[in-house]
Amino acid sequence: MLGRLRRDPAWLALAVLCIGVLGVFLVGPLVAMLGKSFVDADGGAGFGGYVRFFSEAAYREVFFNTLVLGVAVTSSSMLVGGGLAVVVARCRFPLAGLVTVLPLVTLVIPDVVVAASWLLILGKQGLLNGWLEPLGVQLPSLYSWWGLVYVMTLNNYVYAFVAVLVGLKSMDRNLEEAAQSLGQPLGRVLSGVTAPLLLPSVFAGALIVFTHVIGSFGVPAILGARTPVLAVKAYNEFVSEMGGSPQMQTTMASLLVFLGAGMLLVQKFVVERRQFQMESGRSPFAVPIEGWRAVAATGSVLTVVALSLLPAVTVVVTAFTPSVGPVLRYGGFTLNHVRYALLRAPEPLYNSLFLATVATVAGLLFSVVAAYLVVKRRAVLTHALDVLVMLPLTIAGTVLGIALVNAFNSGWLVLTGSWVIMALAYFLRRVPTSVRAAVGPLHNLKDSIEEASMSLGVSPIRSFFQVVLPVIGPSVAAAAVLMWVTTLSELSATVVLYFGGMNTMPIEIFQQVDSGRLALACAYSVLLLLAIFLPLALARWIFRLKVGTIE
Amino acid sequence: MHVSFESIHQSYGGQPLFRQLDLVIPSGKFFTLLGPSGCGKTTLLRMLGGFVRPDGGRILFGGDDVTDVPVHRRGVGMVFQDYALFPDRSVLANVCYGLAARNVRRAEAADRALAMLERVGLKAFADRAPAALSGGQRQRVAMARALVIEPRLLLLDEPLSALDVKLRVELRSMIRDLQIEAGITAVFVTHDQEEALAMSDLIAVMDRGRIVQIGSPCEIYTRPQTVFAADFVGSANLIPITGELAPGAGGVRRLGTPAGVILTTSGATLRPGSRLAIRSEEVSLADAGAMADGQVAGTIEHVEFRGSVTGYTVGTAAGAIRVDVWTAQQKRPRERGEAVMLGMPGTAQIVEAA
Repeated sequence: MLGRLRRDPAWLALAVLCIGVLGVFLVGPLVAMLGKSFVDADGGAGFGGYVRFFSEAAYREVFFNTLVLGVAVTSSSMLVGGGLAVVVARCRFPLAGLVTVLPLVTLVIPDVVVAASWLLILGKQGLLNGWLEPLGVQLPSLYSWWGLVYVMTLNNYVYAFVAVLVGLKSMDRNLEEAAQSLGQPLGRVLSGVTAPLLLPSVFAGALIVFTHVIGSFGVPAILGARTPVLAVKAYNEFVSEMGGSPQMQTTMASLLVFLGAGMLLVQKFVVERRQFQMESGRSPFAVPIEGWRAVAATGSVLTVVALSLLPAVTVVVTAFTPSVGPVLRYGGFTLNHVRYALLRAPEPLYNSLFLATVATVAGLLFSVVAAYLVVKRRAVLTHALDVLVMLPLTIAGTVLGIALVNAFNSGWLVLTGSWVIMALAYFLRRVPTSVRAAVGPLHNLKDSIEEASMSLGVSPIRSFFQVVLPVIGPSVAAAAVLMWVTTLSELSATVVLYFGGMNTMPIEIFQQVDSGRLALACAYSVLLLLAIFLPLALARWIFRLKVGTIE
Repeated sequence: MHVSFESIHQSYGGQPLFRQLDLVIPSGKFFTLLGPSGCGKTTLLRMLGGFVRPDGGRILFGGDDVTDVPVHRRGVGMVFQDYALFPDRSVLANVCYGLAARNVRRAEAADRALAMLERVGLKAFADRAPAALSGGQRQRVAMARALVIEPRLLLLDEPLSALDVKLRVELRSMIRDLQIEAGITAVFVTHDQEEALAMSDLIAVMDRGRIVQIGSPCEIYTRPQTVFAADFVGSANLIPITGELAPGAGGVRRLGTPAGVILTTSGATLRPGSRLAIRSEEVSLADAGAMADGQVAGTIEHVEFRGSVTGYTVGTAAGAIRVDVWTAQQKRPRERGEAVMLGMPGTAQIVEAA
């Protein structure tokens, strides 16, 4: 049970503390929420909530909308991202290197900003419709299936791209060469040898995208008035204090948990089992292509990069554009919006920076300790910790928010309506990524380094600080930056947890979009982009940390 | 300081590795634990270091029970197979590390570290990063780092196995010199019999969690007591014994084997499964002829020219027997298929099964 913890009381105490934190603040609220979904209106236990959910057409539709959206966005993201990865990894053509900026771009531009900017471009009063109007043509409404799928694909294709690209890069060139030397033509080799080996990466990427999509809140909330999905419906049920039923609210949140957990199980037992160990370092050559093929390849890279960057350009331009009510007068210039966001009402900026900092410091301490325990102090206890830290991956932000509110609005610990619960949610949501970031270098750090330190007379805890921390420092710092910037753009949990006076940047943007003040939304978006971009740029180009790169 | 294990018990996943293991390592000796992987030699070493706690039994340093003393209070110097130098510190900082933990003043620590580095011939490299050194140099830094803290006990965990052959030979004499100079007890773990024979005062041959024989290198090599020891150290020829015949002239023992009678001066008792262990360099090779006691007829099956020595594998009625002959001392090289007569030495040892 205690394994290598037996001789380390200090680490044992930390392991218990870590599990305790996750138990009280993550597992407890989740279990309580799942439990509530089984409590019927009359107070007895039962499946009433689920029965009602699937028997009322309005609810049933929400469930199927969620699945349809998940499948549609996953397919299109795999097509765009996966296709791009294959072209870039296997062909050499001008400007192919541009794709390396894509992960960074996605990091910098939050979902809600992307949605707002596409409203500006493709919305009813959008730029494109303005230009097309004299021709008598009108674009289909963005508030529709295709609008949702289009914007969400742009938000998610990068995950597919990175997963497939990493899979392709880790492929062993010798395998293809061996197959060819055995007399197979290249086409048959690619379909018969390479494709099956790539399949696990494709599935892994698809699962990431699918999990993201079914749990995402911002884009469906802005564009999906006609196509309600689970995350948004659960939120609406949560805020409508009169009509909302606690059981339906928790039922929908629980359904999202079940979906997420299902995806995680598929990942663990189907995808990971089929992953192959490959000799690394000899990825297949990229073949130079010319003529129309090169033009097509370069064109598609440029298109994807441009579509990904366009939101940033749009919000920057719009932030300085004069507006009369909801009508924007492009071509003019004003500082009013930015002045308002920066000087008249800068609280959202301060709130976001404050919360992100608190969550990052807590997350940093937690994930270094947890990662160390998981890698270097293997025992049943730390294995349990390993499973627990990955749990938030399966939980949509809205669901986590609802679970936390339900758990901490009364009882021994009341957190609802304080900034602590917001920081807590951010901390929990980012724990899996930061723990993973620290696990990597710890795996590479040989045990003997630490043993050498101890044998030279330095206690286990001091050895950790003197020998282990300096080695994993850069990766952990990169993870901290990543945690900070992703927390700045968090919306789906915030929307459940924030309260008057504690607006964050994404909330402010979301509300300004909702009330039609797009120019102001863009001004806040610009501030948010800067708040994310500057630390990233600093980390990447001054401190040479690996943030927003394809590893 | 002498070191002892007292009735050590240890299991891994329900499988017992050590049952009632006792071992005393005398003060100031270079003591080698020799055996194949999985025999438990590294576990014993790590118990001395404090990295593994035995399930049962005690570990004593001198007269003190240290079983529950944590690693950092044991005062042992340890050298690891993969060097384990701190990659973010300079060579000098690596060597000073243990002194700082002992609150030695910085200036004094640097002096002592530099003196130690000079002793291992790396004073000029003090400011380098470990990554800028070769494998042999890194291991010398690791030695300096372990010895500069003047440990009570030096633990060496296969320190040479990551190095190439030439460096290994060079470094093993340096390690031995340093140990003698410091006058400390050293425990060395290896699976390389040549290393063990070349460096040790005493060798403990280990097999599956048991110590099968302890002795000086010469004893272990010339008088192995078990089939395992004879085979693992110097891979002796092992010949089955069919029975003991009436003693010959001068009381020499005559043992029957499938290939004829072999003479021995060994006093060991014959037990079921006992075999004769004969070193390949002690067998002599002659032209085929009439057979007498101590001679075995055979045919050369394989010839291996290794430079100073030529190795022959000779097929006999008792199985294949390996013979090593000094190349310079044989009249002519023999060929595959040639019928020969082997002269078996009277130094053949009777070894026990298992």
